[in-house]
Amino acid sequence: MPKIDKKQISSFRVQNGLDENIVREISKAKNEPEWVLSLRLKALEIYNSLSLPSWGPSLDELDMNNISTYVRPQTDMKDSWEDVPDEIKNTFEKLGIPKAEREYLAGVGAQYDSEVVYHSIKNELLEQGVIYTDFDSAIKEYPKLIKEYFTKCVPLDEHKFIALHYAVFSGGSFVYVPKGVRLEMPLQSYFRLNSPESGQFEHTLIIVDEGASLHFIEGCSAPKYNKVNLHAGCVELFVKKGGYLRYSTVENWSKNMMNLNTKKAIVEENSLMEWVSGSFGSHISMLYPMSILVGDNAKTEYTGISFAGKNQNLDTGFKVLHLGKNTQSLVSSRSLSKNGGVTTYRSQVKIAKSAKGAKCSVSCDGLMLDDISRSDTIPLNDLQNNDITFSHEAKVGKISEKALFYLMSRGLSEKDATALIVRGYANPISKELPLEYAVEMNRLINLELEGGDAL
Amino acid sequence: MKINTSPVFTCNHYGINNIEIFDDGIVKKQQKFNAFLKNGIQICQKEINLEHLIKQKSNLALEIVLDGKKNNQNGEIEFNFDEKNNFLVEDLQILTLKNTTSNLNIRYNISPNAYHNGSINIVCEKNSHLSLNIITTNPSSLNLSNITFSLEENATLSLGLFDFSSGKGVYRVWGSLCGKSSKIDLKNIYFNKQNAVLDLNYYFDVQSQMCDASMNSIGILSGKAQKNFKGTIDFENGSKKSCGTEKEFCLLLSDTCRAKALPILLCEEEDVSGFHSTSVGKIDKNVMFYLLSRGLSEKEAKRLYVNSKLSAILSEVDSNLSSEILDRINKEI
Repeated sequence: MPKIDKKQISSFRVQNGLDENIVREISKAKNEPEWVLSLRLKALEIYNSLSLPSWGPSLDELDMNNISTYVRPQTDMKDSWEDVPDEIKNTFEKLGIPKAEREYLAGVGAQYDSEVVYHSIKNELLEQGVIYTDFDSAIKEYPKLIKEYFTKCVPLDEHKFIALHYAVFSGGSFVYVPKGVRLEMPLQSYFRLNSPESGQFEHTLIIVDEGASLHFIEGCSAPKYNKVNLHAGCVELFVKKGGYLRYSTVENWSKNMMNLNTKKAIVEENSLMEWVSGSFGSHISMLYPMSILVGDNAKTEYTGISFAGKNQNLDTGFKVLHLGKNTQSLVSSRSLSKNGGVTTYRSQVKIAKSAKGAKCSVSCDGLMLDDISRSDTIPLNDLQNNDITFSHEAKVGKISEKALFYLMSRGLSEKDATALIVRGYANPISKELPLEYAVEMNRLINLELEGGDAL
Repeated sequence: MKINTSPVFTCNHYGINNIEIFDDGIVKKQQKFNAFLKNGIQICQKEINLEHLIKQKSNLALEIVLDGKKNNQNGEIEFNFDEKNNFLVEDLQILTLKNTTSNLNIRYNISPNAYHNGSINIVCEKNSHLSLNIITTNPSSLNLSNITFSLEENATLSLGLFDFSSGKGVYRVWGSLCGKSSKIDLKNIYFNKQNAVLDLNYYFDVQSQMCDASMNSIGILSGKAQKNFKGTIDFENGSKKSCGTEKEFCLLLSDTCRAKALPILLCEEEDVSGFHSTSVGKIDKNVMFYLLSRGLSEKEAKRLYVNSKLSAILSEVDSNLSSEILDRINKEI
């Protein structure tokens, strides 16, 4: 795999730390409307008033005084790869983004540190009224839509790192798919955090209008440094009546990254929200995508896998809130741990009084590949009416000795046999991804099994 | 006061990390409580004096040594509350000697406006087998029960908890499987109604090889009853070839009950097998229709349905006790 240059190519970087001056500096650098600055300052106030969570992995290594919350690369946003500076373009070339765009994507957004450096969308989609742009541009070009939806799915005071996010957010994507428009090819946003001791706080807002359909893919990576980097992004998704949205993520942050991302979807009547998630990177991850099924007959599915290797603590899971009648949720999560890695499946299923006829099924499996790793399962279920069908199951253990023996008796080495079993274990997730991403996911699994680092 | 804390914290606003109890208004009586001992069970009842009461804050202490001999094999202890004896803070120490088999039933017949705060510590020596059933009836009072256990090599503890309550019940069962091939089999049946609140907190610490930790909880809620279930099986390093199973099923008979469950599996050892499952639901309409179409009345059909759900546990319990539990539940339905 080609190595990517870590050379720093920023044009502007706020000083490390977080205070009102820094927030104002970020807002000024972006030339934002006044209401955005007010929102940022309110979020900062909330951030300072909230405490760290009393549960989950320790976040002691995170010191905001050592993090720069805004790093602008040496370019503004382009709509042609030819215009993107070589160093940045080469990075994304090695990640396969331009190639993917040419071959099978309807549009691409590429973020480098704190800003989007490239954005494009196929003309035929523009003609159908699809909006796909970077979030900063959306604030200026579509203020009405932004004001209607921004922070409505994930409020400022949800938790400390969301408040941090809203104080310093930068970059990210805005997507609007009009009524009845069905995108056959996916849109992708790729996030690359190249600077050490910095953070990425992109905001993604997607609105799939009535009867519309979209597959959105998110990818991310960063080079490894000895210092802590922070990712506290936010994803807000709105799936309107009869709509369909699949949100796929293959996360490959470097092993010095603290990944404290928040993702949530509001799913209306008769619509379907699908999450596909592969978490392979980060030093510490706290990631719990959530679907709120507000409309009757709304459905959500979550398929996810996490693989924790050496020095990794991946605390991930899924949350679902059933509010509407006859809503359905299906959760399937798998985790692997090796070389002292720690995986924790942490989830919440809440079925409210109003959610008559709700159905939910949760399955979470943990596979441990050695006896120095750890796998925990902490699922919470809160059920508030009796007209429901709910089931949850979980398993934890090691690779079946019988399966290993069988494969080795067929001539495979133990290493190859283990890899084959692990790929089979991950198959329910990889088959939900487009082929190229499934291949990428398998590559990351192989790297983890070998104990290597990705790009 | 917040008690019965989960071994692993979740977000505070989920309201399951612990439970709040208010015992300020309870009049703490400093008088002995007499247990009713059946079947000639040999026990040693500690003398309680006033100083001890004040110091230990208990008004009954029993040391029960089960040596497997005939008169200690099948014992029963009853704690009968009434208007005068409605305050019990007891300390029970149960020791099962090695290579013995014993059965013990403990009944708490709690009266209204009473207070019970019990502590039972169980030690099962090597190769011993103890079947301990605790049956509690609680119409409206506060019932706190803390059970701890420690199992040596090849020891087996079969612990049955049966709770019939309209009051507040807090159960904490925490223990360690210290010895190789030790086994804990917790069976829990509850029927809670009206404004009952039940908080269950079970934690099995699997420390040794080839252990077997099993918890199976089946419950029925009606009225505005609420239940929190926190079950944890913790496979520590060194617990090779051990297995752990958590099963929880809750039947909701009314629209106003609430069931929360937090079934946790913690695993630091690769060569184990851990499994948990929870399910919640109401009485299946199709099953009811089928039974009614066979000529059963609605009540009979409900009883049959509920009995079938409970059979998973009751089939492994002494037949007399099993019949008693079924009769009580059938009366409630």
